[in-house]
Amino acid sequence: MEKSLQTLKKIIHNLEFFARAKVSQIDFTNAMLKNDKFSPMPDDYAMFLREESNGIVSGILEFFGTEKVNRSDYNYNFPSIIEANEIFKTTNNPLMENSVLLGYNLLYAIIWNESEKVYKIIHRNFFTPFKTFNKFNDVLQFVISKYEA
Amino acid sequence: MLFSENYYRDRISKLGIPEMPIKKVVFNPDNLSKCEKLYNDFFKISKKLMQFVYYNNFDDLIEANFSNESVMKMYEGIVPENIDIYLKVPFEYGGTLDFSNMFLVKKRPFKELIDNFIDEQVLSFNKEQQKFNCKNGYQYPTELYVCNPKGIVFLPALKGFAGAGGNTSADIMTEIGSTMFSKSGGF
Repeated sequence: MEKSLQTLKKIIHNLEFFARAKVSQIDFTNAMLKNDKFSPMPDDYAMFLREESNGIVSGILEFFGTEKVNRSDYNYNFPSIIEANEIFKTTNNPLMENSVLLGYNLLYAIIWNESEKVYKIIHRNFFTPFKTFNKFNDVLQFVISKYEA
Repeated sequence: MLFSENYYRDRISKLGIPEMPIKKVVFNPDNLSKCEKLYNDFFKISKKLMQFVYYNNFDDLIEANFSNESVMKMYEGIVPENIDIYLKVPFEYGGTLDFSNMFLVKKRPFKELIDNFIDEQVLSFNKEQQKFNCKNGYQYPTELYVCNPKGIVFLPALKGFAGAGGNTSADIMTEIGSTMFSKSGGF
């Protein structure tokens, strides 16, 4: 995973990393997600937040962490994973049940589906699945493949 | 059953962006075979799109209160943080990779509002069709109302500050707690 993240840093401009998440923040976020009938974060994603960065942001790639981040230079707040999933609570979106939105890559949304135990790259509105992966590192490799050519 | 255009104008207004024009698009399954290539090619055009907007729509970027940092990133061909590239007409509905089929919008707060507008229609159509257990995503609504701003940069009604109320955009933005529209401007 570390190698994939290093590659992403090289090929995606202005990719920002944040301070790593604490175990207590991960546990709290997972409890809140379960409470709202979303899936908890998969283990390797939680490990990414804990060991690498509590979310990442750029113009074309976002992964949400446990905490909201004030981006004062751009006058907005980068949402936490709980905040990013609020919209599905509001719209009561059935295909998000037992899933959790983890990030965006331009037109794609990146979700984890707990029932199928897979990461899915989907169309944000139609939920058309483009790709599925078992590991978070494979998701990162997929993103890299879009930009490395 | 699809509602009237007035219904959807009212919906987008209630969602917080009454100034956003909309239009109806029609699904054609023949478009689906072209989608994979279009989505792949879409990832390659963001640099050119940013520079195109910088050179051709610089005034709109200023009017939409893009920060200096964001504008300079676009000059370099980089998509700035908190900017989304939306398709006016989805590929599934015949949309193309022409820049005229795209618009830029601030992700927060507008992405959620626009996604919500589309989500409502998709969910309503699928509920009617009883298509909720579909592992391959939702069924595409036969007809869909999409956001269709005039230019390539969406110019929200409020640019400088969150108002005291009496305007739906201001109410929603204040409610969301966006700090984007401060009197000092920029984002």
